[in-house]
Amino acid sequence: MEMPLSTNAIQMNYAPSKYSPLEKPYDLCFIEQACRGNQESMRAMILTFLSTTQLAVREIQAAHQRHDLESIRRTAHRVKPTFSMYGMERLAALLQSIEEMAIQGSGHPSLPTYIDSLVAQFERIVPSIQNEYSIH
Amino acid sequence: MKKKILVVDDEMNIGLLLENILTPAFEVTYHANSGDAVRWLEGHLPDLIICDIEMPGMDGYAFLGHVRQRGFTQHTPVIMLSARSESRERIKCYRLGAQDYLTKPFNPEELDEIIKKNLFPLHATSPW
Repeated sequence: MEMPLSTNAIQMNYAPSKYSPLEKPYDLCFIEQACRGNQESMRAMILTFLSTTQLAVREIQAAHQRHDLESIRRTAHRVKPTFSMYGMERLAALLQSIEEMAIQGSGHPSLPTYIDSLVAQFERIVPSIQNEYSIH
Repeated sequence: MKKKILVVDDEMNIGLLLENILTPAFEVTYHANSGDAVRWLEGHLPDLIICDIEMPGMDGYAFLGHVRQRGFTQHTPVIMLSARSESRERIKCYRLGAQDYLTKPFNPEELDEIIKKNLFPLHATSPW
């Protein structure tokens, strides 16, 4: 079932609303290798990832609502490598752009759209990971 | 006896990743903020420190400065971690006394070589 887009999201060249059928929005190979096949460690890492990134995405949303660009910048900078570690390069690229916009200063016209897209894409990916690794 | 590595990074996913990668070859201690790491150093002596740069409160530069001022850790190898790759960041770290600098997300093979170089400079093989 198609998840609804957030109301302000628009199509962007590098962050489309859909992934192509052959493109998986995440890749946990790096994490699997780091855990050396230990399922318990893997599960712990995924649980930490899901909880901390959810908090980070919410913090970016909340910071945007209170016009706190420094918090947006700091949070985007902090979690951007984590999304890369989990093979979520599109989200990492979005966070890079969000960080750069926050550095540029107030009133960047695309910032709300990028944040909306981050939230929408993140919310689409989370259930996939939860289902694949039986984490709920 | 295992070498001790102190990891300091406010991003828990990075800390957990490093714990998984480096254990069991090393005894790894992870702290999510510099303040806790400074307190830990009062009673422990690591063989190597891996430290993030941008952290709330005491950042990595200040933590590195603290490590270099303490008699017991002034020669402890320090590897700085950052999502930034600009030369000026690296230069600043080297001037403050860091041995190496890794950009996040890092390549575990590169991390391996850097740790080997700093902990086992005369040996060709790593312990894991």
